[in-house]
Amino acid sequence: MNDSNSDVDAFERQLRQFRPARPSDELMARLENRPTPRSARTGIDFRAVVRFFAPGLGGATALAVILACWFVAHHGLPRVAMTANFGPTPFPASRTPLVCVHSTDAVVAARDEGIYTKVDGQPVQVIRLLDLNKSVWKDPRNGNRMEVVVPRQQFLVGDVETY
Amino acid sequence: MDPQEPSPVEWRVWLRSHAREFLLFARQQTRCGADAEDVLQEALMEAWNRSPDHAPPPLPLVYATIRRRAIDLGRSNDRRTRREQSDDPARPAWFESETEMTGMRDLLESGVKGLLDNQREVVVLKVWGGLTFEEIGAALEIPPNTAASRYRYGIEALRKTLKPLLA
Repeated sequence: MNDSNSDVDAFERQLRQFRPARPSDELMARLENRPTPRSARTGIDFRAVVRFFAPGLGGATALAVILACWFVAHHGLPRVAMTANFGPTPFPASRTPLVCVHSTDAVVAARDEGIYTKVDGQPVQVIRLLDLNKSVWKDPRNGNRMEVVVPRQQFLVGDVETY
Repeated sequence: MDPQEPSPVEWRVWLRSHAREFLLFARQQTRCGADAEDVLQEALMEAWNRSPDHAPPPLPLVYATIRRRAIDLGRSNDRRTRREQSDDPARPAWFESETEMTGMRDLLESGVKGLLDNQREVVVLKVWGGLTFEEIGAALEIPPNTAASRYRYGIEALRKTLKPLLA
C-alpha cells in the first residue's frame, strides 16, 4: 500500500513537471481589466441587440437585424460579405497603469440600408449598426477616473434568400 | 476606492497565480480555445462578484463556475462548436514544455484528453489545480470519496498511457 502510494506520489510529481500553458497576453489583458463579456468570435452582443430592438424599431427591421445577428453567431462569417469598424482602436489598458473598472457595450442605432445586388447577382441586405463602448478607467495611484466612449459603426451584409 | 471593486494589485496577483490552471480546466471543459477563453473570463467575473466581501474567490467556486458556464455554453452552441472543433486550425497546447520534451507533452495531452470526462476533470483539479478531494467534491458537486475514486482510476489510466516514456 505504501509502495502504491509512493508510486502515485512520484507519478504526480512527474506530471506536475508539465505546467499548464500560460494564457496569451491578450487573454491576460482581458482578464486583468475585467471588460464586458463579449464573444471574440462574432464581436456582437446579441442580448444588447435584442434589448435595443424589442421596444424600438419596426417589426420587419428588427426581425431582419436579429436574424442577421443570429446567422452570424451560429454560422460564422463566411457568408457575411463584410464587417467594417470605424473609430479608434480599444484603449491599450494592459500597457498603462490605468485599470478598467467598468465597461458597457450597447447598440444605440440601427438602420436598414436596403437591398443590394452583388456582382454575382446575389441579393444582400445591408444593416448599419452603431454601438457605443463605454469604459471607466481608474488610476490606482490616486483614484482618478476617466470615462472613454468609443463609437463603432458596423455593416452587416447578409444574403437574402430568393424563392 | 469603490468597496465593490477588488484592489487591482490584489486581483492581478491572484489571477497570475492561478490563470494557467483555470485555463487548463476551461479548455478541458469546452470544445475550442475561443470558448475556453470566453468561459474563463465570464466565470472569473461571476465568481469574484459572488465571493463574500469581494475577496479573491475560493478556488472550488471558480472551478465550479467555469464548469457550469461551460455546460451552459455547450448546450446553447452545441452544433456550432462541434463544427468549429473540427476545423479549429490553431488549437493551443494544454501544457508547456521544453523543446526536447514536446513529444512527451503531446503524449501527456493526448493521455489527459483520452480519460473519461469525469476522471479527467478530477485529475486536472488534483494534479494541476492543487485541490483536495474535499474541494474537488465541492467544485464538481460530488462526494469527496467519489472524487478520490475517480482520481485513482484516472491516474492509473494515465500512468498506463505514459508508462513507456516515464519509465
